[in-house]
Amino acid sequence: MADGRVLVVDDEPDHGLTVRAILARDAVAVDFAASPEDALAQACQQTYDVAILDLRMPGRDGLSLMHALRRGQPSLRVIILTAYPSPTTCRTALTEGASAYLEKPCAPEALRAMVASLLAQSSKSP
Amino acid sequence: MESRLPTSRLKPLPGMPRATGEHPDLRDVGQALGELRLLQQLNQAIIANLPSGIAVLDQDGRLLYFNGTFGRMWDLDLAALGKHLAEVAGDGPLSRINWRGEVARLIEGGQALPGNLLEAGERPSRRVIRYGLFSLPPTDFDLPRRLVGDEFCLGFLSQHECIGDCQECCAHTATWQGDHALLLVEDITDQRQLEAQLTQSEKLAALGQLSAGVAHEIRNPLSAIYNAAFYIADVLSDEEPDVGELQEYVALIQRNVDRAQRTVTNILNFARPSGPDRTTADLSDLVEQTLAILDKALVDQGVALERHLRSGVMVRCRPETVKQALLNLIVNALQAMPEGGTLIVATAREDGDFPSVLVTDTGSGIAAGDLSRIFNPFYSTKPAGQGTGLGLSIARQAIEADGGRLDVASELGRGTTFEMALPAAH
Ligand SMILES: Nc1ncnc2c1ncn2[C@@H]1O[C@H](COP(=O)(O)OP(=O)(O)OP(=O)(O)O)[C@@H](O)[C@H]1O
Ligand SMILES: [Mg+2]
Repeated sequence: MADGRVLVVDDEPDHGLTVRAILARDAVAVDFAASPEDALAQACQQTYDVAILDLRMPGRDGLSLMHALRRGQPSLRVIILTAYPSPTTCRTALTEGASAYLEKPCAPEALRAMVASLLAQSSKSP
Repeated sequence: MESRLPTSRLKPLPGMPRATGEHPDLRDVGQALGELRLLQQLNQAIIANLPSGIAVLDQDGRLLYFNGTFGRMWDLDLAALGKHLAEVAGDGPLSRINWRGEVARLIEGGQALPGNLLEAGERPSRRVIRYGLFSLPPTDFDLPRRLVGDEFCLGFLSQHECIGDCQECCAHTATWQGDHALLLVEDITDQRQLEAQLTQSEKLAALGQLSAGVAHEIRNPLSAIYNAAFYIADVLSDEEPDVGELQEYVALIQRNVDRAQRTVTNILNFARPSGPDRTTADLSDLVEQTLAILDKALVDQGVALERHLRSGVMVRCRPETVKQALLNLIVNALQAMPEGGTLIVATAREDGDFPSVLVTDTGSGIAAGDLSRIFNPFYSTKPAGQGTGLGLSIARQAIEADGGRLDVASELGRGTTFEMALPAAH
Protein backbone atom coordinates (compact mmCIF):
# COMPACT_ATOMS: atom_id res chain seq x y z
CA MET A 1 0.00 0.00 0.00
CA ALA A 2 1.07 3.52 -0.76
CA ASP A 3 2.58 5.25 2.18
CA GLY A 4 1.13 8.42 3.49
CA ARG A 5 -0.43 9.93 6.56
CA VAL A 6 -4.07 9.91 7.52
CA LEU A 7 -5.85 12.04 10.12
CA VAL A 8 -9.07 10.71 11.65
CA VAL A 9 -11.22 13.32 13.39
CA ASP A 10 -14.25 12.20 15.36
CA ASP A 11 -15.79 13.34 18.62
CA GLU A 12 -16.71 9.70 19.20
CA PRO A 13 -13.41 8.26 20.46
CA ASP A 14 -14.51 4.62 20.11
CA HIS A 15 -15.40 5.19 16.52
CA GLY A 16 -12.27 7.13 15.67
CA LEU A 17 -10.04 4.54 17.34
CA THR A 18 -11.55 1.64 15.40
CA VAL A 19 -11.12 3.52 12.13
CA ARG A 20 -7.51 4.11 13.03
CA ALA A 21 -7.01 0.44 13.92
CA ILE A 22 -8.41 -0.76 10.59
CA LEU A 23 -6.35 1.63 8.50
CA ALA A 24 -3.19 1.03 10.51
CA ARG A 25 -3.39 -2.65 9.50
CA ASP A 26 -2.44 -1.47 6.00
CA ALA A 27 0.74 -0.02 7.41
CA VAL A 28 -0.57 3.49 6.92
CA ALA A 29 0.40 6.07 9.51
CA VAL A 30 -2.85 7.19 11.17
CA ASP A 31 -3.36 9.92 13.74
CA PHE A 32 -6.54 10.43 15.69
CA ALA A 33 -8.01 13.70 16.93
CA ALA A 34 -11.06 13.74 19.18
CA SER A 35 -12.08 17.31 18.42
CA PRO A 36 -11.73 19.93 15.67
CA GLU A 37 -9.32 21.99 17.78
CA ASP A 38 -7.23 18.94 18.42
CA ALA A 39 -7.19 18.27 14.67
CA LEU A 40 -6.04 21.79 13.84
CA ALA A 41 -3.30 21.55 16.47
CA GLN A 42 -2.04 18.27 15.03
CA ALA A 43 -2.15 19.65 11.49
CA CYS A 44 0.30 22.35 12.58
CA GLN A 45 2.84 19.64 13.39
CA GLN A 46 2.16 17.19 10.58
CA THR A 47 1.32 17.14 6.92
CA TYR A 48 -1.52 14.78 6.00
CA ASP A 49 -2.52 13.24 2.71
CA VAL A 50 -6.02 12.24 3.73
CA ALA A 51 -8.37 13.39 6.48
CA ILE A 52 -11.49 11.47 7.55
CA LEU A 53 -13.86 13.94 9.18
CA ASP A 54 -17.02 13.46 11.17
CA LEU A 55 -19.71 15.98 10.28
CA ARG A 56 -21.48 16.78 13.54
CA MET A 57 -18.99 17.79 16.18
CA PRO A 58 -19.24 20.31 18.98
CA GLY A 59 -17.81 23.71 18.20
CA ARG A 60 -17.10 23.27 14.51
CA ASP A 61 -18.64 20.94 11.97
CA GLY A 62 -16.71 18.73 9.58
CA LEU A 63 -17.16 21.00 6.56
CA SER A 64 -15.83 24.05 8.31
CA LEU A 65 -12.95 21.96 9.64
CA MET A 66 -12.23 20.80 6.09
CA HIS A 67 -11.80 24.41 4.96
CA ALA A 68 -9.67 25.28 7.97
CA LEU A 69 -7.35 22.30 7.41
CA ARG A 70 -7.08 23.04 3.69
CA ARG A 71 -5.99 26.59 4.37
CA GLY A 72 -2.74 25.16 5.72
CA GLN A 73 -2.58 22.07 3.50
CA PRO A 74 -4.28 22.75 0.16
CA SER A 75 -3.64 19.29 -1.29
CA LEU A 76 -5.33 17.46 1.61
CA ARG A 77 -7.96 14.98 0.44
CA VAL A 78 -11.02 14.74 2.60
CA ILE A 79 -13.52 11.99 3.32
CA ILE A 80 -16.66 13.03 5.20
CA LEU A 81 -18.00 10.23 7.40
CA THR A 82 -21.33 10.98 9.06
CA ALA A 83 -23.99 9.25 11.12
CA TYR A 84 -26.60 11.72 9.99
CA PRO A 85 -26.34 12.05 6.22
CA SER A 86 -28.54 14.50 4.36
CA PRO A 87 -28.73 15.41 0.68
CA THR A 88 -27.89 19.02 1.55
CA THR A 89 -24.68 18.36 3.47
CA CYS A 90 -23.68 15.76 0.87
CA ARG A 91 -24.06 18.21 -2.01
CA THR A 92 -22.24 20.96 -0.11
CA ALA A 93 -19.40 18.66 0.90
CA LEU A 94 -18.82 17.40 -2.62
CA THR A 95 -19.10 20.80 -4.33
CA GLU A 96 -16.77 22.33 -1.76
CA GLY A 97 -14.13 19.79 -2.52
CA ALA A 98 -14.56 16.68 -0.37
CA SER A 99 -13.41 13.56 -2.24
CA ALA A 100 -16.08 11.32 -0.71
CA TYR A 101 -19.13 11.42 1.52
CA LEU A 102 -19.71 8.20 3.44
CA GLU A 103 -22.39 7.10 5.86
CA LYS A 104 -21.76 5.52 9.23
CA PRO A 105 -21.73 2.59 9.48
CA CYS A 106 -19.58 2.20 6.41
CA ALA A 107 -18.16 -1.16 5.39
CA PRO A 108 -14.56 -1.22 6.66
CA GLU A 109 -13.33 -2.70 3.36
CA ALA A 110 -14.91 0.20 1.49
CA LEU A 111 -13.33 2.76 3.75
CA ARG A 112 -9.98 1.07 3.41
CA ALA A 113 -10.24 0.94 -0.38
CA MET A 114 -11.27 4.57 -0.50
CA VAL A 115 -8.31 5.65 1.61
CA ALA A 116 -5.93 3.51 -0.45
CA SER A 117 -7.11 5.06 -3.70
CA LEU A 118 -6.85 8.59 -2.33
CA LEU A 119 -3.35 7.89 -1.04
CA ALA A 120 -2.39 6.59 -4.47
CA GLN A 121 -3.72 9.73 -6.15
CA SER A 122 -1.96 11.89 -3.64
CA SER A 123 1.41 10.23 -4.22
CA LYS A 124 1.03 10.80 -7.99
CA SER A 125 -0.08 14.42 -7.82
CA PRO A 126 0.86 15.95 -4.52
CA MET B 1 -108.89 12.44 29.42
CA GLU B 2 -111.41 15.17 30.21
CA SER B 3 -109.40 18.25 30.44
CA ARG B 4 -105.96 19.44 29.62
CA LEU B 5 -106.14 22.16 32.19
CA PRO B 6 -104.33 21.63 35.43
CA THR B 7 -106.54 20.20 38.05
CA SER B 8 -104.03 20.52 40.80
CA ARG B 9 -102.97 23.57 42.72
CA LEU B 10 -100.41 25.59 40.88
CA LYS B 11 -97.77 26.86 43.17
CA PRO B 12 -96.30 30.20 42.31
CA LEU B 13 -92.76 29.95 41.13
CA PRO B 14 -90.20 31.49 43.45
CA GLY B 15 -89.95 35.20 42.90
CA MET B 16 -93.33 35.43 41.21
CA PRO B 17 -95.53 38.14 42.70
CA ARG B 18 -98.35 36.54 44.58
CA ALA B 19 -101.78 37.85 43.88
CA THR B 20 -102.76 39.62 47.04
CA GLY B 21 -106.51 39.60 47.16
CA GLU B 22 -107.32 41.67 44.11
CA HIS B 23 -108.19 39.83 40.92
CA PRO B 24 -105.80 40.31 38.09
CA ASP B 25 -107.00 42.20 35.12
CA LEU B 26 -108.02 39.83 32.32
CA ARG B 27 -105.87 41.79 29.94
CA ASP B 28 -102.92 41.06 32.15
CA VAL B 29 -103.76 37.38 32.20
CA GLY B 30 -103.91 37.39 28.42
CA GLN B 31 -100.57 39.09 28.22
CA ALA B 32 -99.03 36.77 30.78
CA LEU B 33 -100.27 33.79 28.80
CA GLY B 34 -98.80 35.23 25.63
CA GLU B 35 -95.47 35.71 27.36
CA LEU B 36 -95.52 32.23 28.75
CA ARG B 37 -96.27 30.85 25.33
CA LEU B 38 -93.34 32.77 23.91
CA LEU B 39 -91.04 31.55 26.64
CA GLN B 40 -92.27 28.04 26.06
CA GLN B 41 -91.40 28.31 22.38
CA LEU B 42 -88.02 29.75 23.14
CA ASN B 43 -87.39 26.99 25.63
CA GLN B 44 -88.48 24.40 23.09
CA ALA B 45 -86.23 25.82 20.38
CA ILE B 46 -83.25 25.80 22.73
CA ILE B 47 -83.83 22.27 23.89
CA ALA B 48 -84.39 20.94 20.38
CA ASN B 49 -81.21 22.50 19.07
CA LEU B 50 -78.84 21.81 21.91
CA PRO B 51 -76.01 19.44 21.09
CA SER B 52 -76.34 18.04 24.61
CA GLY B 53 -78.68 15.28 25.55
CA ILE B 54 -81.26 16.24 28.16
CA ALA B 55 -83.40 13.88 30.16
CA VAL B 56 -85.52 14.00 33.27
CA LEU B 57 -85.41 11.06 35.65
CA ASP B 58 -87.82 10.33 38.43
CA GLN B 59 -86.64 9.24 41.84
CA ASP B 60 -86.44 5.63 40.70
CA GLY B 61 -84.19 6.48 37.82
CA ARG B 62 -86.97 6.10 35.23
CA LEU B 63 -87.05 8.23 32.13
CA LEU B 64 -89.78 10.85 32.29
CA TYR B 65 -88.62 12.92 29.41
CA PHE B 66 -85.79 13.26 26.94
CA ASN B 67 -84.95 15.60 24.12
CA GLY B 68 -84.22 14.60 20.51
CA THR B 69 -80.46 14.71 20.97
CA PHE B 70 -80.62 12.38 23.94
CA GLY B 71 -82.88 10.03 21.98
CA ARG B 72 -80.48 9.95 19.03
CA MET B 73 -77.48 9.47 21.30
CA TRP B 74 -78.85 6.26 22.73
CA ASP B 75 -81.20 5.20 19.98
CA LEU B 76 -84.32 5.63 22.08
CA ASP B 77 -87.90 5.78 20.95
CA LEU B 78 -91.10 6.47 22.79
CA ALA B 79 -91.10 3.01 24.26
CA ALA B 80 -88.19 4.05 26.45
CA LEU B 81 -90.40 6.40 28.46
CA GLY B 82 -91.11 5.12 31.92
CA LYS B 83 -88.31 2.58 31.74
CA HIS B 84 -85.21 2.57 33.86
CA LEU B 85 -82.44 4.44 32.13
CA ALA B 86 -79.87 1.73 32.70
CA GLU B 87 -82.17 -0.76 30.94
CA VAL B 88 -82.56 1.19 27.73
CA ALA B 89 -79.01 2.50 27.41
CA GLY B 90 -77.55 -0.60 25.75
CA ASP B 91 -73.92 -1.26 26.58
CA GLY B 92 -73.07 2.43 26.37
CA PRO B 93 -71.62 4.42 29.24
CA LEU B 94 -75.02 5.28 30.69
CA SER B 95 -75.75 1.66 31.50
CA ARG B 96 -72.90 1.60 33.99
CA ILE B 97 -74.56 3.83 36.52
CA ASN B 98 -77.02 3.00 39.24
CA TRP B 99 -79.29 5.91 38.45
CA ARG B 100 -81.71 5.28 41.26
CA GLY B 101 -78.83 5.59 43.69
CA GLU B 102 -77.45 8.65 41.97
CA VAL B 103 -80.79 10.43 42.03
CA ALA B 104 -81.29 9.52 45.68
CA ARG B 105 -77.85 10.84 46.52
CA LEU B 106 -78.61 14.02 44.64
CA ILE B 107 -81.91 14.57 46.38
CA GLU B 108 -80.47 13.87 49.80
CA GLY B 109 -77.44 16.02 49.25
CA GLY B 110 -79.45 18.71 47.54
CA GLN B 111 -76.47 19.45 45.33
CA ALA B 112 -75.67 19.00 41.71
CA LEU B 113 -73.43 16.10 40.67
CA PRO B 114 -71.84 17.65 37.63
CA GLY B 115 -68.86 16.87 35.53
CA ASN B 116 -68.55 13.11 35.70
CA LEU B 117 -66.74 11.34 32.91
CA LEU B 118 -67.78 7.90 31.76
CA GLU B 119 -66.27 5.66 29.19
CA ALA B 120 -67.73 2.40 27.96
CA GLY B 121 -68.50 0.15 25.03
CA GLU B 122 -66.33 -1.89 22.74
CA ARG B 123 -64.02 -0.30 20.24
CA PRO B 124 -64.54 1.13 17.69
CA SER B 125 -67.94 2.22 18.98
CA ARG B 126 -66.49 3.01 22.38
CA ARG B 127 -67.86 6.28 23.61
CA VAL B 128 -66.85 8.84 26.15
CA ILE B 129 -69.48 11.04 27.73
CA ARG B 130 -69.57 13.75 30.31
CA TYR B 131 -72.72 13.95 32.37
CA GLY B 132 -74.14 16.10 35.09
CA LEU B 133 -77.13 15.46 37.30
CA PHE B 134 -79.09 18.36 38.76
CA SER B 135 -82.04 18.38 41.11
CA LEU B 136 -85.34 19.87 39.98
CA PRO B 137 -87.87 21.39 42.36
CA PRO B 138 -90.40 18.76 43.43
CA THR B 139 -93.84 19.10 41.91
CA ASP B 140 -97.18 17.84 42.92
CA PHE B 141 -99.03 18.05 39.64
CA ASP B 142 -98.94 16.21 36.35
CA LEU B 143 -97.35 17.58 33.26
CA PRO B 144 -98.21 16.49 29.74
CA ARG B 145 -95.60 15.55 27.23
CA ARG B 146 -96.46 16.18 23.65
CA LEU B 147 -94.71 14.87 20.65
CA VAL B 148 -93.94 17.43 17.98
CA GLY B 149 -91.81 15.92 15.27
CA ASP B 150 -89.30 13.91 17.21
CA GLU B 151 -89.27 16.28 20.13
CA PHE B 152 -91.47 16.25 23.15
CA CYS B 153 -92.87 19.51 24.33
CA LEU B 154 -93.60 19.84 27.97
CA GLY B 155 -96.49 21.72 29.45
CA PHE B 156 -99.92 22.94 28.51
CA LEU B 157 -98.81 25.92 26.58
CA SER B 158 -96.78 24.20 23.95
CA GLN B 159 -97.56 25.36 20.51
CA HIS B 160 -98.90 22.08 19.29
CA GLU B 161 -102.63 22.42 19.38
CA CYS B 162 -104.13 19.37 20.92
CA ILE B 163 -107.68 18.45 20.09
CA GLY B 164 -108.09 16.56 23.31
CA ASP B 165 -107.61 12.94 22.40
CA CYS B 166 -104.73 12.89 20.00
CA GLN B 167 -102.33 9.95 20.06
CA GLU B 168 -99.30 12.08 20.58
CA CYS B 169 -99.79 14.22 23.60
CA CYS B 170 -102.67 12.76 25.37
CA ALA B 171 -101.14 9.34 25.34
CA HIS B 172 -98.05 10.68 26.96
CA THR B 173 -99.24 12.71 29.83
CA ALA B 174 -96.72 11.83 32.44
CA THR B 175 -97.16 11.51 36.10
CA TRP B 176 -94.83 14.23 37.08
CA GLN B 177 -94.97 14.26 40.82
CA GLY B 178 -92.39 14.07 43.50
CA ASP B 179 -88.64 14.45 43.08
CA HIS B 180 -86.83 14.51 39.78
CA ALA B 181 -83.44 15.02 38.43
CA LEU B 182 -82.27 16.67 35.26
CA LEU B 183 -79.60 14.74 33.40
CA LEU B 184 -77.33 16.54 30.93
CA VAL B 185 -75.14 14.40 28.71
CA GLU B 186 -72.43 15.45 26.31
CA ASP B 187 -70.83 12.99 23.93
CA ILE B 188 -67.14 13.92 23.93
CA THR B 189 -65.89 10.87 22.04
CA ASP B 190 -64.80 12.92 19.01
CA GLN B 191 -63.13 15.54 21.15
CA ARG B 192 -61.22 12.83 22.99
CA GLN B 193 -60.13 11.25 19.75
CA LEU B 194 -58.89 14.57 18.44
CA GLU B 195 -56.93 15.15 21.63
CA ALA B 196 -55.34 11.73 21.35
CA GLN B 197 -54.40 12.41 17.75
CA LEU B 198 -52.86 15.74 18.65
CA THR B 199 -50.81 14.14 21.39
CA GLN B 200 -49.70 11.50 18.94
CA SER B 201 -48.72 14.03 16.29
CA GLU B 202 -46.87 16.04 18.88
CA LYS B 203 -44.98 12.96 19.88
CA LEU B 204 -44.01 12.44 16.29
CA ALA B 205 -42.98 16.07 15.97
CA ALA B 206 -40.79 15.76 19.04
CA LEU B 207 -39.30 12.54 17.73
CA GLY B 208 -38.67 14.26 14.40
CA GLN B 209 -36.69 16.90 16.22
CA LEU B 210 -34.79 14.13 17.84
CA SER B 211 -34.16 12.01 14.79
CA ALA B 212 -30.75 13.57 14.20
CA GLY B 213 -29.79 12.77 17.74
CA VAL B 214 -31.19 9.28 17.48
CA ALA B 215 -29.32 8.55 14.25
CA HIS B 216 -26.17 9.78 15.88
CA GLU B 217 -26.69 7.71 19.02
CA ILE B 218 -27.38 4.48 17.15
CA ARG B 219 -25.14 4.69 14.14
CA ASN B 220 -21.96 5.67 15.94
CA PRO B 221 -21.90 2.66 18.23
CA LEU B 222 -23.06 0.45 15.37
CA SER B 223 -20.27 1.69 13.20
CA ALA B 224 -17.68 1.26 15.95
CA ILE B 225 -18.90 -2.30 16.51
CA TYR B 226 -18.71 -3.03 12.79
CA ASN B 227 -15.17 -1.71 12.62
CA ALA B 228 -14.02 -3.52 15.76
CA ALA B 229 -15.44 -6.85 14.59
CA PHE B 230 -13.77 -6.39 11.23
CA TYR B 231 -10.51 -5.53 12.91
CA ILE B 232 -10.63 -8.58 15.19
CA ALA B 233 -11.35 -10.90 12.26
CA ASP B 234 -8.58 -9.26 10.29
CA VAL B 235 -6.05 -9.74 13.09
CA LEU B 236 -7.13 -13.34 13.65
CA SER B 237 -6.55 -14.09 9.97
CA ASP B 238 -2.84 -13.38 10.42
CA GLU B 239 -0.55 -16.35 10.39
CA GLU B 240 0.57 -15.64 13.92
CA PRO B 241 -2.12 -13.38 15.28
CA ASP B 242 -1.14 -10.98 18.01
CA VAL B 243 -4.23 -11.43 20.16
CA GLY B 244 -2.92 -9.41 23.08
CA GLU B 245 -4.70 -6.18 22.26
CA LEU B 246 -7.85 -7.80 20.90
CA GLN B 247 -9.30 -7.85 24.40
CA GLU B 248 -9.54 -4.08 24.22
CA TYR B 249 -11.65 -4.28 21.07
CA VAL B 250 -13.95 -6.88 22.58
CA ALA B 251 -14.56 -4.53 25.50
CA LEU B 252 -15.20 -1.74 23.02
CA ILE B 253 -17.85 -3.83 21.31
CA GLN B 254 -19.58 -4.56 24.61
CA ARG B 255 -19.51 -0.92 25.59
CA ASN B 256 -21.07 0.19 22.34
CA VAL B 257 -23.77 -2.47 22.37
CA ASP B 258 -24.74 -1.16 25.81
CA ARG B 259 -24.89 2.35 24.55
CA ALA B 260 -27.10 1.58 21.56
CA GLN B 261 -29.30 -0.52 23.81
CA ARG B 262 -29.70 2.39 26.23
CA THR B 263 -30.68 4.71 23.43
CA VAL B 264 -33.33 2.33 22.16
CA THR B 265 -34.71 1.88 25.68
CA ASN B 266 -34.93 5.63 26.11
CA ILE B 267 -36.82 6.05 22.88
CA LEU B 268 -39.19 3.24 23.71
CA ASN B 269 -39.87 4.69 27.12
CA PHE B 270 -40.78 7.84 25.40
CA ALA B 271 -42.92 6.55 22.61
CA ARG B 272 -44.93 4.31 24.93
CA PRO B 273 -48.53 5.47 24.84
CA SER B 274 -49.28 7.35 28.00
CA GLY B 275 -51.69 5.62 30.28
CA PRO B 276 -54.58 7.62 31.57
CA ASP B 277 -53.64 6.85 35.14
CA ARG B 278 -51.91 9.18 37.50
CA THR B 279 -49.25 7.84 39.75
CA THR B 280 -46.80 9.16 42.24
CA ALA B 281 -43.48 10.06 40.67
CA ASP B 282 -40.24 11.69 41.68
CA LEU B 283 -40.10 14.98 39.82
CA SER B 284 -36.33 14.87 39.40
CA ASP B 285 -36.55 11.34 37.90
CA LEU B 286 -38.94 12.60 35.26
CA VAL B 287 -36.53 15.38 34.41
CA GLU B 288 -33.55 13.02 34.28
CA GLN B 289 -35.38 10.59 32.01
CA THR B 290 -36.18 13.42 29.64
CA LEU B 291 -32.64 14.75 29.64
CA ALA B 292 -31.35 11.24 28.96
CA ILE B 293 -32.66 11.24 25.43
CA LEU B 294 -31.49 14.79 24.80
CA ASP B 295 -27.95 14.81 26.16
CA LYS B 296 -26.29 14.49 22.79
CA ALA B 297 -28.43 17.19 21.19
CA LEU B 298 -27.29 19.58 23.93
CA VAL B 299 -23.63 18.94 23.30
CA ASP B 300 -24.03 19.12 19.53
CA GLN B 301 -25.46 22.55 19.85
CA GLY B 302 -22.81 23.85 22.19
CA VAL B 303 -25.35 24.22 24.98
CA ALA B 304 -24.11 23.82 28.54
CA LEU B 305 -26.47 22.01 30.85
CA GLU B 306 -26.88 22.97 34.49
CA ARG B 307 -28.95 20.66 36.67
CA HIS B 308 -30.17 21.67 40.09
CA LEU B 309 -32.37 18.73 40.88
CA ARG B 310 -33.45 17.69 44.33
CA SER B 311 -34.57 14.11 44.44
CA GLY B 312 -37.46 12.96 46.59
CA VAL B 313 -39.88 15.66 45.48
CA MET B 314 -42.97 13.52 44.88
CA VAL B 315 -45.83 14.61 42.61
CA ARG B 316 -49.08 13.11 41.32
CA CYS B 317 -49.19 13.02 37.55
CA ARG B 318 -49.17 10.92 34.40
CA PRO B 319 -45.40 10.51 34.07
CA GLU B 320 -45.33 9.98 30.29
CA THR B 321 -47.36 13.10 29.74
CA VAL B 322 -45.13 15.16 31.98
CA LYS B 323 -41.99 13.91 30.24
CA GLN B 324 -43.58 14.78 26.92
CA ALA B 325 -44.29 18.30 28.14
CA LEU B 326 -40.75 18.65 29.52
CA LEU B 327 -39.33 17.46 26.23
CA ASN B 328 -41.30 20.14 24.42
CA LEU B 329 -40.01 22.82 26.79
CA ILE B 330 -36.42 21.69 26.38
CA VAL B 331 -36.62 21.34 22.60
CA ASN B 332 -38.03 24.88 22.49
CA ALA B 333 -35.21 26.10 24.72
CA LEU B 334 -32.61 24.50 22.45
CA GLN B 335 -34.26 26.00 19.40
CA ALA B 336 -34.08 29.41 21.07
CA MET B 337 -30.28 29.03 21.46
CA PRO B 338 -28.99 28.16 17.97
CA GLU B 339 -25.66 29.77 18.81
CA GLY B 340 -25.34 27.88 22.05
CA GLY B 341 -25.94 29.03 25.60
CA THR B 342 -26.93 27.56 28.92
CA LEU B 343 -29.90 25.39 29.76
CA ILE B 344 -30.76 25.34 33.45
CA VAL B 345 -33.12 22.71 34.72
CA ALA B 346 -33.99 23.06 38.38
CA THR B 347 -36.55 21.88 40.88
CA ALA B 348 -37.92 24.88 42.74
CA ARG B 349 -36.49 25.56 46.19
CA GLU B 350 -39.79 25.51 48.00
CA ASP B 351 -42.36 22.78 47.49
CA GLY B 352 -45.67 23.59 49.13
CA ASP B 353 -48.65 21.92 47.56
CA PHE B 354 -47.32 22.44 44.05
CA PRO B 355 -43.68 21.49 43.62
CA SER B 356 -42.34 22.78 40.35
CA VAL B 357 -39.53 22.44 37.90
CA LEU B 358 -38.00 25.40 36.08
CA VAL B 359 -36.61 25.20 32.57
CA THR B 360 -34.49 28.26 31.81
CA ASP B 361 -32.60 29.14 28.65
CA THR B 362 -30.31 32.01 27.73
CA GLY B 363 -31.79 32.25 24.25
CA SER B 364 -33.72 34.76 22.18
CA GLY B 365 -36.42 35.47 24.75
CA ILE B 366 -40.00 36.35 23.88
CA ALA B 367 -41.39 39.85 23.38
CA ALA B 368 -43.85 40.88 26.10
CA GLY B 369 -46.58 41.29 23.50
CA ASP B 370 -46.17 37.72 22.29
CA LEU B 371 -46.14 36.07 25.71
CA SER B 372 -49.89 35.62 25.80
CA ARG B 373 -49.93 33.94 22.41
CA ILE B 374 -47.28 31.28 22.73
CA PHE B 375 -49.71 28.83 24.34
CA ASN B 376 -52.17 29.16 21.49
CA PRO B 377 -52.37 26.10 19.26
CA PHE B 378 -50.51 26.58 15.99
CA TYR B 379 -48.79 29.76 17.12
CA SER B 380 -45.23 29.38 15.92
CA THR B 381 -42.46 31.71 14.87
CA LYS B 382 -40.47 28.86 13.41
CA PRO B 383 -40.04 28.28 9.67
CA ALA B 384 -42.69 26.15 8.00
CA GLY B 385 -41.94 22.49 8.44
CA GLN B 386 -40.03 23.09 11.64
CA GLY B 387 -42.69 24.17 14.06
CA THR B 388 -46.27 23.03 14.26
CA GLY B 389 -46.93 25.47 17.07
CA LEU B 390 -48.53 22.72 19.10
CA GLY B 391 -45.79 21.99 21.59
CA LEU B 392 -46.75 24.48 24.27
CA SER B 393 -50.50 24.30 23.88
CA ILE B 394 -50.46 20.56 24.30
CA ALA B 395 -47.99 20.74 27.16
CA ARG B 396 -50.14 23.25 29.04
CA GLN B 397 -53.33 21.31 28.42
CA ALA B 398 -51.74 18.08 29.59
CA ILE B 399 -50.29 19.61 32.73
CA GLU B 400 -53.55 21.32 33.61
CA ALA B 401 -55.39 18.06 33.10
CA ASP B 402 -53.15 16.65 35.82
CA GLY B 403 -54.11 19.53 38.09
CA GLY B 404 -50.89 21.43 37.51
CA ARG B 405 -49.83 24.71 35.91
CA LEU B 406 -47.48 25.79 33.17
CA ASP B 407 -46.27 29.41 33.26
CA VAL B 408 -43.68 31.49 31.51
CA ALA B 409 -41.49 34.51 32.17
CA SER B 410 -39.22 35.95 29.53
CA GLU B 411 -37.06 38.90 28.61
CA LEU B 412 -36.32 39.65 24.99
CA GLY B 413 -32.68 39.06 24.22
CA ARG B 414 -31.96 37.56 27.66
CA GLY B 415 -33.81 34.28 27.86
CA THR B 416 -36.89 32.48 29.00
CA THR B 417 -38.05 30.46 31.99
CA PHE B 418 -40.92 28.01 31.97
CA GLU B 419 -42.27 26.78 35.27
CA MET B 420 -44.17 23.54 35.45
CA ALA B 421 -45.97 22.95 38.73
CA LEU B 422 -47.66 19.69 39.67
CA PRO B 423 -49.80 18.65 42.61
CA ALA B 424 -47.71 17.27 45.46
CA ALA B 425 -48.22 13.63 46.40
CA HIS B 426 -49.07 13.40 50.08
N1 LIG C 1 -37.79 28.91 25.20
C1 LIG C 1 -38.30 29.74 24.27
N2 LIG C 1 -37.62 30.85 23.89
C2 LIG C 1 -38.12 31.68 22.95
N3 LIG C 1 -39.31 31.49 22.33
C3 LIG C 1 -40.03 30.42 22.66
C4 LIG C 1 -39.58 29.48 23.65
N4 LIG C 1 -40.50 28.51 23.78
C5 LIG C 1 -41.49 28.82 22.91
N5 LIG C 1 -41.23 29.95 22.24
C6 LIG C 1 -42.07 30.62 21.24
O1 LIG C 1 -43.37 30.06 21.31
C7 LIG C 1 -43.76 29.52 20.05
C8 LIG C 1 -44.68 28.35 20.26
O2 LIG C 1 -43.97 27.26 20.83
P1 LIG C 1 -44.52 25.80 20.60
O3 LIG C 1 -43.63 24.84 21.29
O4 LIG C 1 -45.96 25.76 20.96
O5 LIG C 1 -44.45 25.60 19.03
P2 LIG C 1 -43.14 25.48 18.12
O6 LIG C 1 -41.95 25.21 18.95
O7 LIG C 1 -43.08 26.66 17.24
O8 LIG C 1 -43.50 24.21 17.24
P3 LIG C 1 -43.43 22.67 17.70
O9 LIG C 1 -43.30 22.64 19.20
O10 LIG C 1 -44.71 22.12 17.24
O11 LIG C 1 -42.26 22.13 17.01
C9 LIG C 1 -42.46 29.22 19.34
O12 LIG C 1 -42.59 29.21 17.94
C10 LIG C 1 -41.57 30.37 19.82
O13 LIG C 1 -41.83 31.54 19.10
MG1 LIG D 1 -41.91 23.54 20.42
